[in-house]
Amino acid sequence: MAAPELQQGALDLLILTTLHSGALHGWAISRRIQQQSGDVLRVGQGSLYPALYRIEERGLVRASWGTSDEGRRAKFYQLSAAGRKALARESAAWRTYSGAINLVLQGAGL
Amino acid sequence: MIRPAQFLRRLRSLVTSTRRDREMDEEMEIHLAMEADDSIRRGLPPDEAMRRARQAFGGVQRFREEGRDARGIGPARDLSGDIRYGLRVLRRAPVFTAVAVATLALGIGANSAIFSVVNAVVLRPLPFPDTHSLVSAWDGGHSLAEFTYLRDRTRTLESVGTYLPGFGVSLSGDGEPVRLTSALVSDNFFDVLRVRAAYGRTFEAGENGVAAGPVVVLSHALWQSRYGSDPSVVGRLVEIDGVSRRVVGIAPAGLTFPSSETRLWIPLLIDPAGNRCAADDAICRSGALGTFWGSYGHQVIGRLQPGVTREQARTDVLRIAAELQAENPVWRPAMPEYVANVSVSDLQSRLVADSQRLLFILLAAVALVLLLACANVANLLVVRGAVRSREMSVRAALGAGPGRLVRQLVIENLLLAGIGGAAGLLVGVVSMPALTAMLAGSAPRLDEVRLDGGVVLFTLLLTTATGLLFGVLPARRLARANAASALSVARGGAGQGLHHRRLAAALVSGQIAIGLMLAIGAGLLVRSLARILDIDPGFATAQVVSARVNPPRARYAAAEPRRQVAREIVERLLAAPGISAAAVTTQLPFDQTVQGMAMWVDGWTTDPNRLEVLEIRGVSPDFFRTMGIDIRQGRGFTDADAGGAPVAIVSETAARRFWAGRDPVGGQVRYPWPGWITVVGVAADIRNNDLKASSQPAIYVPFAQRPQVPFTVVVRAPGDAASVLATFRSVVADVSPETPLSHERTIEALMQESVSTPRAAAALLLSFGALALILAGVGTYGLVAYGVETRRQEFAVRMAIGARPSSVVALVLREGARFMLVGVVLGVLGALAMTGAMRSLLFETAPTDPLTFVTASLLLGITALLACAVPAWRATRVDPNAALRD
Repeated sequence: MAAPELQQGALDLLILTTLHSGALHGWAISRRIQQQSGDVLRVGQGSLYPALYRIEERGLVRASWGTSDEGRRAKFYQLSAAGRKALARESAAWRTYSGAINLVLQGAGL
Repeated sequence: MIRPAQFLRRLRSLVTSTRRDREMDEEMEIHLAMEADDSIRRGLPPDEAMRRARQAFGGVQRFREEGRDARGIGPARDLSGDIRYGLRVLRRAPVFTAVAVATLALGIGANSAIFSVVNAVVLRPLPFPDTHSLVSAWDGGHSLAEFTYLRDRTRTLESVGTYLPGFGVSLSGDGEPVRLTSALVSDNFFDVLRVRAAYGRTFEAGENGVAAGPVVVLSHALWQSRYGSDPSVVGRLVEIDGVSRRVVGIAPAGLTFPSSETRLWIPLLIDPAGNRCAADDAICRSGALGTFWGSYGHQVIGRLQPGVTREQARTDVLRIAAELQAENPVWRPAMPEYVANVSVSDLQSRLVADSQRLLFILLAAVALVLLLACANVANLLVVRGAVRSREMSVRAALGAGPGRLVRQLVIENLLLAGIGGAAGLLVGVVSMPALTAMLAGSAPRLDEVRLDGGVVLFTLLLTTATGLLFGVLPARRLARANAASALSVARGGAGQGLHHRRLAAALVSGQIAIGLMLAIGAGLLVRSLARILDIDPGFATAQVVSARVNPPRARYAAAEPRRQVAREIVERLLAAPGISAAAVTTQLPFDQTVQGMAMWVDGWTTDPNRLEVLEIRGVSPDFFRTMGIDIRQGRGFTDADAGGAPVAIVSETAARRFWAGRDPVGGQVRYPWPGWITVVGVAADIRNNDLKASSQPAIYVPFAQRPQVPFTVVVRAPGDAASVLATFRSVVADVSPETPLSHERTIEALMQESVSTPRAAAALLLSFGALALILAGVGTYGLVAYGVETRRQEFAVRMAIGARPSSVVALVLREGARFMLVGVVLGVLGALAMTGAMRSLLFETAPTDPLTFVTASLLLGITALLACAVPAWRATRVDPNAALRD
């Protein structure tokens, strides 16, 4: 049942991806997604924290309070072992899915 | 299914929710600050930076809430949002909303209305202090002697009172003479009830005595209507039945005990030595059977001493009854089970005992109607669920969890139920007058039926329960189906349709079952009513008009003036145009009174303590002709009997029972005292008061030989009853201006009144049954139409490859027939389980009456098939090209 979950949680996948390289706080996650998508995806910022809490509920990330580069107190999110596994699984599923869609689109000459 | 780990996390988050809320707040503030920092770094002034940050972020509040939802906790704050959203959803589907609200309004309204009656009649305590200690001390009617025995010898009752309910009196002076219902009561009547007068006083000890001055207590209503709420009426004299009585007090507002018609209370004359005989009433004065011992019908009420149980009181009354039986100078022949019958019951349950069963049946019927309405709305929701699954998917994709979705749906359903409940309360209030009018005569205290806190609370609870009942199953199904397959909506939900259809089919089977149960219940009552109405009462019911003539007792104390007023009225009536016959009787059949007389029958009675009780009527010679009662043997009465030897006519039942094998004509009977009366004829049997009860032995004596007041005049007149009654009034006003007329009715109306309870039961159940039939039909139609809609392509393919329209119709009907059969089987089983409770309401109709069961099943079946027919026809009209293209 990975596919529907991936679909429902495209944002979840993006968040997990940004955390792949290390722990980040919420603002940095949103900034990272915006930058990496070439300013195309602005994370509906209101979805960010609910999504983070949801992911934390599912045990995919761990959170801890720390200090940001600018010296502000912030909560840092970090992938858990389960989160890494989920990231691998869901990113593969996403590639298959989007690849398939691309194939169809190309086939139609679009 | 929630995994245990997940469950634990949710539990934890519930416990730590405040901390987490604070944490998320803090995090969001930090986010804003970081956003602002970033802007400042890029050269914006700080407050502009903050403004932009907020703009980019949106309202902090909103995200806080969504954050909490992500953890599966529904805060109350969301409620108003959910309600607003729910109202929007309902407004967007006006047809669905209207149908659902109308269905619920009918279902809930019927319940509110019936409950308001149950509340007033059964649940609301009698309007007296400490009603729990108030008992009907000795069920059944009793003589004043029996009352005084109980009053003087009881060891368990604090006080014992008595009353004679429904005693008609004429009130004159201060305007038109009127006929009112009074209650004759013991002097401690109000004290036993613990009721104080609103003005003046109630009765005092000794006012039942022979020497006491005549007094009266007026009801609040009479005081208002006739005396304009003038407190100075207390102490004034009013004329009641020709006797001047001093008004000593006004009862508190609302007090009408013992019956809602009671307008005044008069002290009984309790005189162990004498009785209430008229001065020259030889029969009464002959002593042995004076009113003290011989006049039954007094109800006895009492207050239990503190700490005494009803069972202890019963033992006490039983002891006194045994003493009475030993000391009673006139043995009560009508009650061989005298002692065994003693019971002490809660006054309120005693008063409502007769109507409780009817109310229970009605309550059960409306509960079924509501269940049916719930099934219908649930069905609508299921069908709508298929439409709304896309919306649910979108919301699920946006991050709303299944719990959140269920909650939203439940709130929507409660909203729907709430609107339906409010409309239902309105339906209930509007139908209350009609309902109480229908139940008139079938239940006491109907004048107290009104909308009160109890009814509102009941409706509120019922509405909530209804909303949960019809809403939870479809809501759970919808929310779960979507959470599990958020994207599968794109496939159009063929599998889901099947799923929905199965639930809907179960609901429709249930509806048909409930509809059938109600139809069977109604059918049984209708059949029973028809059986009752089929009974021949033994006299002509058409074109007979009657009125009771109430000459004031004091002025018509002697026999001769009584004879004269009766004779004159009859003669004048006969002379009037349009009246073909007129007669006098002391007791009119079906006027809800019985006059019984203990009699010695020569050649049959052997024991002076075992006399026969016969219904007795004093009638003028033309009575039999006017009423159409045949004289089967011997002769009727003649004018010559007035001054002649004592004669009587007996009924066929009496003749059969007491003169078996002998000739009744020429036979002899007497009252309990000496003086033989010769039987000169035998009259056909008639039924009295209750068509269902078989005819009792009856005896007729010439009115002129036993003139009583009041008496009833009956006339046979082919014309309009109203004009006959106008003639009646002018004749009586001419003959005796101080004599009021009362009980002006046609015999037909009397007969109708006698079947008011079975008629009300049948009419109410019929209307509930009709409602159920419509709801079940709509439910079936909805299901089949929906099924056809989702299978359009299948039908198109079938038609395209050569299926004939008839086979498509058969296909649809077959499916309809399947759940119809299930419903019918369930309905029959349900009815078999429930109609037993109706036994006491049925007359010569078995609760399992096969004809009723078969007819009702056919009716339901035909309704269901008709409901299937339209969609089935539509299935054949599917355009294959169009359907396959979709």
